[in-house]
Amino acid sequence: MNLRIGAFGRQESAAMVLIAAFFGGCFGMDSCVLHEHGNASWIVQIIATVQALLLFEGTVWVLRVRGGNDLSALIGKSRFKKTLAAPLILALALAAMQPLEQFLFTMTQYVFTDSKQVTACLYLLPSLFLLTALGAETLVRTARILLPIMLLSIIAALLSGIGQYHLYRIHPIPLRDPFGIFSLAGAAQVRAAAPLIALLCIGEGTQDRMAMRSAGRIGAIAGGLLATASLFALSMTFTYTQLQDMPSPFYRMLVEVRAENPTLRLDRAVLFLWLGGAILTAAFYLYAASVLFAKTFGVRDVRPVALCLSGIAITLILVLYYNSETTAMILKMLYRYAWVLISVPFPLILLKPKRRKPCAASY
Amino acid sequence: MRRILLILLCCMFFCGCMQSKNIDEYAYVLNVGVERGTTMPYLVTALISVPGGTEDTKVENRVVTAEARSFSEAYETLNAMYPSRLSFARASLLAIGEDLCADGAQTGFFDFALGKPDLWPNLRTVVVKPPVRDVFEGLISEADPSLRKIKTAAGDLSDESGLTADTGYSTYTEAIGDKRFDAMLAYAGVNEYGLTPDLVGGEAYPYVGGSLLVESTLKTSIAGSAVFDGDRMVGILDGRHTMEVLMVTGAFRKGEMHYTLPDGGTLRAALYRMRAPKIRLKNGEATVRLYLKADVIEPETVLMERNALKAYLANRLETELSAVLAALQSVNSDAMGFGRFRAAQFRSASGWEACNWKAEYKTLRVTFSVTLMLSYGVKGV
Repeated sequence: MNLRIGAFGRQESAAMVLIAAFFGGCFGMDSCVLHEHGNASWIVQIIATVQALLLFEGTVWVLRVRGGNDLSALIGKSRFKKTLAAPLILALALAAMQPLEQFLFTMTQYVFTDSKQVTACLYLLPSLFLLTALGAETLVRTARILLPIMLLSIIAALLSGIGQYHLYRIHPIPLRDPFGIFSLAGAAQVRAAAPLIALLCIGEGTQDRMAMRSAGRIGAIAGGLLATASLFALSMTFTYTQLQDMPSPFYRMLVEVRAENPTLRLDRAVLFLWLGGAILTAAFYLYAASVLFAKTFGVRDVRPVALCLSGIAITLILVLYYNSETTAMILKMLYRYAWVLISVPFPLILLKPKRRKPCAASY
Repeated sequence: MRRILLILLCCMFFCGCMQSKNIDEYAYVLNVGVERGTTMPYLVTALISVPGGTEDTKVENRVVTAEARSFSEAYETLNAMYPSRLSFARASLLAIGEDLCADGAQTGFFDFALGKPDLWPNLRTVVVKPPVRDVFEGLISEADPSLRKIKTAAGDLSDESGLTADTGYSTYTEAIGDKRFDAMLAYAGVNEYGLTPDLVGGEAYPYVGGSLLVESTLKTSIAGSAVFDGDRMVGILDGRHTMEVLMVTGAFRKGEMHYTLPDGGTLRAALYRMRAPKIRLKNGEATVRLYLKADVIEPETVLMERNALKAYLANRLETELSAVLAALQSVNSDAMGFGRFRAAQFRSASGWEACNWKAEYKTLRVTFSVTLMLSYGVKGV
């Protein structure tokens, strides 16, 4: 089988999970939805990260009990469980689409203002195809190389906006609306859990279950904290009413600096670095979804699946721009309720398979 | 096969070259202004930097105008009438005419929220006494063709003297869209058009909006501030009153005050913020504690005893702050931003949205308390 998983260490996989957790957390969701109950995105991110970690720890525990290195070991050969893999693949594909969609929007609205989305998509497609086709080892090792500069760019972006931070903007903190917060945390669960699910899909490459567990923990906690800090900074830069009307709030945060600020025009450089991170994240999810598909349904080569999934994801993003409002609305609903795609099948996959009684010999 | 695929892949990366434009085709807009038009609702003025001016500067500044119904329309019109393609990427000053602000008509004009054209979202925003063209022309100087120095100086004026508000467009729109505070923008005008009356009144102060009483090679001055009630401009504060509002908002760093003492003498004091103001808001009453340091300049001219002077200065500041607040309350402008503290008392967005803060603000009772540290002998700010 040509699954192109390869072999890599804890640092590489932790770096990949961290990058994916950050980009999923900060660039995953519709800002209008995320701030509909107030400036609570950072609270939502904390809850979603905890939920995702619990799910991951539970899965690793089940893997340890039953023996196995990745998610496909839990799915096994049961037809029922194979069917349950489909929503997970869809959830990963949706998690890949969200940051790409936001970056595509940012590029066409703020950078290449005269370009159309199709033209900008041509930038994304080759790199996405290439990364998903090259496989897990390439992805995680690229993540390890990119991580320091990515962290530097995030810290620089957060520091450059420090003059614009005001604590009054986070008010009112919607503590009297726990239902609203938890419904948003549910929606954010896909974004927080996707890096860990993707890691579970390629667990075989981490060489050891314990290495996978610690990589997942480190990556998810560090990425979650970084995303929470960034969302908190965002909440101090804009009020929730402003954020509701802001399609690319993080890019807006970058350009909030005043003309005298030495970090002026840092935005484009940081944007393209982050675009690289978003492409890497999307490729990671799409590749993991392809591996899950290939292992579950017995496809021998992962590359055609990965190319197909990448093509479908980009096409769906374009559909959001060019098609009717109804199509866009359906996709947005899918984004919001994608947590069902994880919450329902995952516990069922973790269930212990029924052992068939051996047939009594009849002569 | 692989080579062909590689060539095809490379072709996709060159899509940015399609419809590309040479950098020399652009002319850069440095300032944008909008005021009431005659045939259309808005008259847009742009100060453009054109490469290839005089031999010394290599840059020439031109002011162009166009009437339009919205910013996008003005952008298209200006681009059509100007030989080069206009880029707004370097614009760092947005001037809004006082005539538009008086009835809030400026809010319908700005339809560039999505980054088209490429206008910096947090550019410095000022209110100007029309015509905007005269104000822009008054800023042009051969010594500073890019206007960079004058714009930096405007920011420094706020930081170093507190005589004007330095507000970005984002803060201005935040104030309009949210009821937590009202906008306070720097006020600019052409010197020869004379004084503009201040909202508070009282002791005359040399710096009055639109008329800086100093000799300058530039005809335009930026001083004082225009205060708003939502999207409507309701008055002007002179430099001194602007400084006092900034003390409460927390934006004040340092500034110089002049006082006439009870014994007839004059006091010059450099004021510094020691720490951030503390504001408490409860049951329609607010207490504001300010922590300032005052350095008496030319102490030999002051005959008052130290403690008496300290008490006099603190009391004087408290009285003036109360007068400024009363003036702001009379025009329903929460430029001091008490709404920020009212919003913090809510635990849900819907509760805050249902709150009629402006009605509460009208009857808000505020006690100012100034803690002053006095020292002698500094040369000034």
